[in-house]
Amino acid sequence: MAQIESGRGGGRSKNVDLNLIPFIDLMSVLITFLLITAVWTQVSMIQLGTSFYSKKVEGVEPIKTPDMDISLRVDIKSSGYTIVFGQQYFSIPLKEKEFDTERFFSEMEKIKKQVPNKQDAVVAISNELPYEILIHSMDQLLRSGFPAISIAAGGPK
Amino acid sequence: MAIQRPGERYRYSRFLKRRAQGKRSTTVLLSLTAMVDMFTVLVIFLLQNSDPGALNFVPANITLPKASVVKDLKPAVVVSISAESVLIENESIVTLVQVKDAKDWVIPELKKIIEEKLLIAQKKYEIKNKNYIREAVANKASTDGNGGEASLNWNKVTVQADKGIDILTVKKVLTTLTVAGAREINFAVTKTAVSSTL
Repeated sequence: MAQIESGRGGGRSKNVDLNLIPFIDLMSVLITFLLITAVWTQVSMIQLGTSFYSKKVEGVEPIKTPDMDISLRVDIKSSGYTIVFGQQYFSIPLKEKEFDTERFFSEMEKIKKQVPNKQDAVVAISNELPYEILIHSMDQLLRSGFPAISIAAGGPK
Repeated sequence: MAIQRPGERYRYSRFLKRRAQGKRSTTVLLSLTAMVDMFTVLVIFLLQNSDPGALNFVPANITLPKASVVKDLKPAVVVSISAESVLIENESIVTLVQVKDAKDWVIPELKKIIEEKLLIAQKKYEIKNKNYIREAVANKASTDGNGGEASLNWNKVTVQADKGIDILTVKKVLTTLTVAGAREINFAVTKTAVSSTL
């Protein structure tokens, strides 16, 4: 037990014993509880910027973003990415049988430099691809500064 | 110069030790201070790590995809897509085979429940909004921005799908959600430092 010595004075001993046992008990229970309820994987979210392009809903106006008239579409097929920016086409084939996300990101960054105010982009993805590729592509778009992402219901052209 | 073996140090000699120790005490005092210190540090660490924002429980059979540019989760209706079924708040609604076989992109069972859930969310929003207006009028002051923003969007849905699910299934679920009245759709992901190459 921890002792607090308050010096010598009078006949009565002034040594105080602080009882740490209840404190340790409380700590043990608290640690056990916190260890059980601890969240080791942090779940977050990616927001679908504007809409899912499937059906126009009455009374709901689409969100207007700057430079919306310049089209930016990302086609994701099993063969790789195709970026359609205005009249320009960029094709990013698979790299070692995997999607080249880094090159996709660098191309999107170049586009962002050309139109810094533009925020929207449309993603058209093939139906047979896994969901993970959509999330990775959206992540790269968000990284390059296009937060208003829409997903086209139809597949890529 | 020759290297010599060091001599005995008196500080550690047996002779001095014996004298200093004297009679051996039978009472052993356990020093708890170090243990209490360690417990305190551990509790602080665990309290910091505990995430009150962990709003939704991810089922064991769902592996979320990873993403680096993310936002904190908001309270919303949670739709989970596992390899076996589509679940709403961990209650199975329709099997994945049924969703895949369906020619129509709107899943009626899912649509019905989402509409019900959104209706409940809307009612909660209206009650909250009434109180909000009352408070605003009573205080005659500018309203709290964060609280207002939080209560404005009641039609939010969070989709937590397994990373291996095909896009067509996800598109069908998204179509159903849009038709049912969801406006803000979010995808649950696991936060990572830098997104890895696929």
